[in-house]
Amino acid sequence: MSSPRVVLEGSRAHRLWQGAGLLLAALVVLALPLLAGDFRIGQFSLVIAYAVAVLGLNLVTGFSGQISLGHGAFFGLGAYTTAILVTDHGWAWAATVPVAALLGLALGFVVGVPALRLHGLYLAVITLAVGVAFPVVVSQPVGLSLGTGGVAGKTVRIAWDKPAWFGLDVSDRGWMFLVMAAVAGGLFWIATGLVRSRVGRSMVALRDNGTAAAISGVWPAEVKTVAFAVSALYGSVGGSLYLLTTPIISPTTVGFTITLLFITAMVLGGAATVSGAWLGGLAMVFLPYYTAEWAARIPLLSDLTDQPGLFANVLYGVILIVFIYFVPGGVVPLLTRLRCRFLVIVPPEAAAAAGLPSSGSDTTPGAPDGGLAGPTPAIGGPVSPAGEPDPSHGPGHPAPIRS
Amino acid sequence: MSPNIDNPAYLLTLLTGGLTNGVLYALVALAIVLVYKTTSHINLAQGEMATLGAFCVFELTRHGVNVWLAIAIALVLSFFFGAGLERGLIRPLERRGVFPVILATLALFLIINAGVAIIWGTQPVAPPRPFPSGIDDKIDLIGGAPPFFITHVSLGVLAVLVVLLLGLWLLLEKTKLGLGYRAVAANREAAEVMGIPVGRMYMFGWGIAAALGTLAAALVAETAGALDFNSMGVILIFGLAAATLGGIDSVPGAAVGGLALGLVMAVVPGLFTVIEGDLSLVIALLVVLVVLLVRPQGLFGTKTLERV
Repeated sequence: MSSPRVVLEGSRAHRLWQGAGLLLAALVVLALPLLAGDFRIGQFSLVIAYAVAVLGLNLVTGFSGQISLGHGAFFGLGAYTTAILVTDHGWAWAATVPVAALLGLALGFVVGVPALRLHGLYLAVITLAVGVAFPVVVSQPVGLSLGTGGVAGKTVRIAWDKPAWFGLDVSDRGWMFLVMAAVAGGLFWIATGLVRSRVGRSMVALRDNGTAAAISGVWPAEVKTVAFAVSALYGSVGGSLYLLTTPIISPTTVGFTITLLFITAMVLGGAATVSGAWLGGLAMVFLPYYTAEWAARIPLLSDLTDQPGLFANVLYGVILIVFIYFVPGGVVPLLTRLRCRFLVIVPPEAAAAAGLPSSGSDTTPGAPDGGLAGPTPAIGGPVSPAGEPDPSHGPGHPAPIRS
Repeated sequence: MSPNIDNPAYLLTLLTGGLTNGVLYALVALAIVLVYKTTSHINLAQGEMATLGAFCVFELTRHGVNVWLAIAIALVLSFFFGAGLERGLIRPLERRGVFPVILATLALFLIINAGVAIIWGTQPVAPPRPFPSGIDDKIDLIGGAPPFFITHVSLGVLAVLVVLLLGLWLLLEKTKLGLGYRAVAANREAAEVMGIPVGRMYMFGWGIAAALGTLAAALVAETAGALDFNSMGVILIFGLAAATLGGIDSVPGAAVGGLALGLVMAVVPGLFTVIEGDLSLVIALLVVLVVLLVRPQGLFGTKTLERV
């Protein structure tokens, strides 16, 4: 095959590729509510909610290398905050999101403080206990007095009417989907910026070698608590978004199982990526859906149990094991490698070191148009392809998580 | 404060109840410690593996096998299941660090949990009862209202712990196998150099832990009077808390930690009636937090030194 097209990072050609990718993603998002029925739209709305929550886990576990087994608690915190404020206090949904985000930030900070002294297994134990305790607490009298609705859960009705000024012919649900997509798009954009910022690079440095990072001037305490707090914020907002798609929240929803599914989704998409969270969200929605459908069709399986959702859990476990063994980096790095056969993005310093002309223009050492076959960024979703770790940074592949 | 604070029978009932639960936590904590000592991993699927074992006991007794024989068979099966998992699933991940191993045990958690629910249903079943558990199977000690008595189940559960600790002590201290196990726990590299089959000791630890877990799950089902696929979910947390309290690499610590945790979780809500409902998980979480922040090595654990 022809050699790939090489683009300098930050050059005009790079910006064009990025712009094209973003445009395509935006078109896909806009087209979905126009073309799909309300049921499909609902499913994709759920994908958005889960993807935001999974992204939080990516930040704390994938990028800063800290094990968090309590993500379901953060997710539940956001969902319950929104549910209580909307139902009992008559708030608008949009007004509850900042509250949920701040509460998530606070709880994440509280959980993150022990993380300063603990690492590895002890952190796993603490976060696990938080995750398991949360659904129990909301179903107890102390939770009831806050209005959580106890074991039965809390039902929420959030009215969504398409405003008159919005020109596209979409249903109310479609409008809701677009709003959710916009919120999620913003959150993914922030996360992309965060992981490229000083804090993000400190997180990765701490993950890869804590001692070396500390010597180089990274303050572990600050970075670790920030990572936990931001992760919890994303989980909490994910919970708020979840309530738009599902009008009830109960302790069983936010149990330990959903934490496990978040973790599986994170590993599946790629723990040390931002865009992998989208794939994780997709898997969390469509895997159980299609598994249940197939299981219902196979007589041997459908006779076994009346809860076909359980098969999906078995499948999640199997996927998790397969990924740990064979694809520890997740799917997104694979896609990035695939893209690199056609289009390689090189940071200017690396290009200079390799002796490429650093004029900032498009350089094509191989066949002039050989790379056009796969120009679109391989990520499905309204996020910039900049979210993926560029393979030309560092050792060539995202490091598997160590702790 | 509880109004019954000066009633000895009430206090004694709290204590025995706490101790009975504490034994169950101690058993799970022992399982966690036995895995941790050699491999430095925590098996988060320990509870689910235990549930699977308890359902094996249930299935055997349903086919007419004597309860104690069924438990013995399930213990042996669990031992080989645990050892096999260590060799087949965990060992290949060993050199890749803590996180992949934790992920693998979480995957096991999902698979076994859902698998048990698929095979035996999601509704609780009546568990096999190794101890007489009728309403009259108790020893009355103090009459009056409220009376104080010890049920045969409580006595049996306590006896199991004592026998088990004695057995473990003999196994670890008096046999060559136990010597090898302790050698690996003390210093993996040195043990390897001395010709001890380190891998086999890992498997031994996992196997014993799985068997202990099964025993714990059978007793949990016995004391709760029901067994379902989520029976061990919360108990695992209590076991982890107990192991942390006693010191995660200490066998006697696990036993003491379990009993202490059981006592704390019975006495605190029993005396302070301000606490409404069942917040035992929160108490366990607080215990873990305090221990980890004040004395991370636990009551009897070894303080790990880190070389920077």
